[in-house]
Amino acid sequence: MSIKQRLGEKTILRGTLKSVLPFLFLLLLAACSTLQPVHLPDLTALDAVDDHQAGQLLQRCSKNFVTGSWQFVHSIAFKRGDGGGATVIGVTVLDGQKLHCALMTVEGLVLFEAELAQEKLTVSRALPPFDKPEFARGLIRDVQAIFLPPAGEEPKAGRLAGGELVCRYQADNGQITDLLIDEKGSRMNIYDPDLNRSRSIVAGSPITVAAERVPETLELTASGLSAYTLTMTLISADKI
Amino acid sequence: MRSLVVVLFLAAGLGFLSPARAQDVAGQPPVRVDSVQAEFTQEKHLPILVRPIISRGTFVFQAPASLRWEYLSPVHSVLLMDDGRTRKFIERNDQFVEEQGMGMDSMAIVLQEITGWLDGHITDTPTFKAKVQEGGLIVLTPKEAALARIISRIELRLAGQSGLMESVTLYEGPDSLTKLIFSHGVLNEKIPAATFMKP
Repeated sequence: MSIKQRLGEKTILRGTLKSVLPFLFLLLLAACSTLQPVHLPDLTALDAVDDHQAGQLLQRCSKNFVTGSWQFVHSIAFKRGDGGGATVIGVTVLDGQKLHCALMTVEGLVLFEAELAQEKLTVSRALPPFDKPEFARGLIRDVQAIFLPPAGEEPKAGRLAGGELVCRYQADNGQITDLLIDEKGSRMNIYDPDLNRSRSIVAGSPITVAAERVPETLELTASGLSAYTLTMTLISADKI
Repeated sequence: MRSLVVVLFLAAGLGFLSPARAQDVAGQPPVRVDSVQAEFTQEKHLPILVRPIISRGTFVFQAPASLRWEYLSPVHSVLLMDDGRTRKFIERNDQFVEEQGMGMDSMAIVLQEITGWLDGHITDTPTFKAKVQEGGLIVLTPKEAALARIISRIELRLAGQSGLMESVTLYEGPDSLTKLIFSHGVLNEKIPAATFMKP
C-alpha cells in the first residue's frame, strides 16, 4: 500500500470519526443523564396560604391507602434495566398488623412467600432465583411502599415549583415521600435520606372496592444502577 | 431452578401424557396417545388466599414431544414446545412478548423428562415414585429430597377408560396446592404443526 493510499484512508477515517463523534457524545450524554439522580424538589407550604386547601389535600392523600384487612392479587411484569425480566402472579395480604406476600408463576408454583410482622421478616419459601436475603428485603420494601402509607409524622401539604399539589411525608430515617393525586390516579416519589429519588410509583385507573379507592394498574420504577420496573395489573381485590 | 422447571412441565405433561401409562400401571390395556386437546381450569389454593385464584386455558399435545400450554386468564401466556425448543410468551398490550429467564435455559432437561413418559411407564420415571390407589387415583412422590422440598406429591385422577385425565393436583405443602381440572378432552385428532410454533 502506497503512502498516498494510507493518507487517503486516514482522511476517510478522520472524516468518519468527525461525523460520528457528535452522535457518540450525545449518546454518552443521554446515558449519563439516565444515571443522574433526581433530587428532592423544593416545596412551598400551603398552610400559611390556604388552610382549607391544605386540609382537603391531606384528606385526599390519606384516602390513597386502603384501611383494614385486604387481599390483592396482581399480575406483575418485572423488567430489569438490561431488558430481561419475567411475569409472575403476586398475592398481598394486609391486616393492619401483618403484611404477607407470595409470588408464583403463571402456572401456579409458589416461588416466594414471606410475612412481615412487627418489623420482623419471616421467609417461609424462597426458590432460586428468589432465595437471596436482599431480594426478600427489597420485595417487602416495595410492597410496603405500594400499599402502606409512608412512615413518619403527619404529612405536610405544599406546592412544587411546577404548581403541583403535594403531600410530603418525612420518615425518622430521613426518607421523604411526595404524593401527588389527581382524578386519574396518584404518583409517589420516594427520596432516600441523601434526597435522591430511589422509587417512583404511579397508580392508575382507580376503581371503588368496598367504598375504597383501589388502582387497577401500578408501576414501580426503581432508580439507580440496579434499576428495574414492576408493572402490576389488578386481578382481584377483596376486603377481608 | 432446573428442578422447578421440571416440576412445572411435569405438572403440564402429566395432564395429557400419562393416561396411557397410568392405565398401564393400573393393569389395564394402555391407550395409545398420539395427540390430546383439552381445556382446563386451574385452582390455586394457599393458606393466605380467601378464595382460590382461578385460571383457565387449553392444552394441546402431539406425540412425540410437541406442546402448546396456553393460559387464557388471568394472565394470557403461551408455552410452546416443538422440535426440542421451548419458549414462553406473555401477552402485553395486545402483543405476545417472549420471556427469557425463569429457567427457560433448562428446557432440554424438561424435554427428556416428557419424552421419558412417552417411552416408558409411570413407575419407570426417574423423578417420581408412583402408587396406584382405588378409584383411578395415582399418587406420585418425588424420589429426590431436593424436589420434595418444592413439591410434596402429585395426584392424578383418571377419567374412566377414555385415556384422558380428569384432574392433576400438585401439592407444595399441606394447604398449598394447584389443581388442574380437565374438560372437553379430544384424543388422537390431527393437529396443525403451526399450533406449536407460534403463540
